[in-house]
Amino acid sequence: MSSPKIYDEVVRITHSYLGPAADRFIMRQVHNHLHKAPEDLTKADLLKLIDWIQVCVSLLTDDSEIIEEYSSELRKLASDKKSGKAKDGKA
Amino acid sequence: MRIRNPVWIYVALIVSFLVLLINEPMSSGQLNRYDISSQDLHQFLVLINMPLIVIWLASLYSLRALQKYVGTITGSPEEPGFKGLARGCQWLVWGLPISAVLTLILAYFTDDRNHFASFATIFSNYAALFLIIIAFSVMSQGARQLIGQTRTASRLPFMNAGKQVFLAVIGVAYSYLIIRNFQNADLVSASNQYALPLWILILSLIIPYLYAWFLGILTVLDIVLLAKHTPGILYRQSLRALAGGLVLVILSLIAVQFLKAWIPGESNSMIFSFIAAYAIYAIGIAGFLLIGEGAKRMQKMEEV
Repeated sequence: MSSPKIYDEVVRITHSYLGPAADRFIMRQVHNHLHKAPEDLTKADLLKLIDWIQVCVSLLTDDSEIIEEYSSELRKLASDKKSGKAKDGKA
Repeated sequence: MRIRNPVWIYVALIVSFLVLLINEPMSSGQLNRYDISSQDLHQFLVLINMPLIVIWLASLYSLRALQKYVGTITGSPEEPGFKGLARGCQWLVWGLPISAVLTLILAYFTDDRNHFASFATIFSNYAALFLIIIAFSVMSQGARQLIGQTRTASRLPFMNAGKQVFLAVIGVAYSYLIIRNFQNADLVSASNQYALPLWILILSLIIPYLYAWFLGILTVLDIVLLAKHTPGILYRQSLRALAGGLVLVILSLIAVQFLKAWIPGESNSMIFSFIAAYAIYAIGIAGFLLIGEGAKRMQKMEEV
C-alpha cells in the first residue's frame, strides 16, 4: 500500500536538520537507494532508508551527536509505525 | 556572447597584473612618501601587492562554490536569492583584479609633470568604488529575496544600538582620516591620495563608500536573520559560515580604505604598511575561504 504520510513524516523530521534542503534530500535518497517514487514509500522501506540517510548525513557533518539524534528520531518513527501496525493487526 | 571558461580569463587578468606590477614605473609622490631609492620602493611594492593574488584566488574559489550551489537548487524557492548573492559576489570577485589592473595600466601613462596623474588617481578610485557598490547592491537584493521567503520581520529592528554605533564610528573615523591628511592647496600632493577637492571627495567618495559598506553589513544581517529563522541545524551552520565570511571580506575592504587614508609617521611608514597590508590580506583570504566553505557545505546537502 502506498503511504505518502510516511514520506512526509521523514521530511518533517529531516527539516529540523537540513532546512529547505530536506525534501530534495529525502526524495534523492528514496529515488537513488530504494529506486522508488516518494509516493511508493512503504513502512517496510523505512529501516533501509534510515540506514542510507545515516550514511549520507555522516558525509555532511562530523558531529556524531547530531547524526545520532537525527537517526534516533527516524528510528522512533519506524518503531511507532511498527507498533501501529501491530495494533492494527490485533484489532 | 557567453564566455565558455571565465576562469582562464581570470587567470589571464592575474598574469597581466603580475607583469604590470613587476614593471611598474615609480612616481615621485611614492618615492617622497617612503623616502627610499626607486629600486627598494619597487621591491617593496611588489612584495606588498603580491599576496593580492592569493586573495583573488580565494575569492574565485568562493564564487565558484556559490555558483555550483546555485546550480544544484534550480527551480527551488531559494534559487533567486542565492543567485543574487552569487551575482553580487561575481561583481566583487571580478572587480578586485580589474580595478587593480586598470590602476597599474594607468600608472604606465602617468607622468608627474602632467595632469594625467590626477586623472589616473580619480579614475582608479571611482572604478573600485563603482564595482563595490554594484557588488553589494546585487548581494543585498539577493539576501532580501531570501529573507522575504521566511516571512520574518524587517531587519532594521535586528540592527541593535551596538551595530548602529559601530557603523557611525567607522563613518566618522574614515572621514576624519581623510580630512586630516587633506591638503587642499595641492591636489597632486602625495598626502592627497584622491586628487580631488574636499567637498567633491566627501560627496562622491566618502559617502558612497559608507553606503557600500552599509549595504554589505545589511546583507550580512539578512543572512544572519535567515539563519536565525530557518529550520535545519546543518543548513543554519552553512548560512552562518557564509555570513561570517562576508563579514571578514567587508572588514578587509573597509581596512583597505582606512590604510589608504592613513598616513603614518615617516620613520615606521614601510613597516606599518607592510604589517597592516598582510593583516588585511589574511582577513580577506579567511573571509573568502569561509564563504566558499559555507557554499560547499550547502552544495553537499543537495548532492549526497
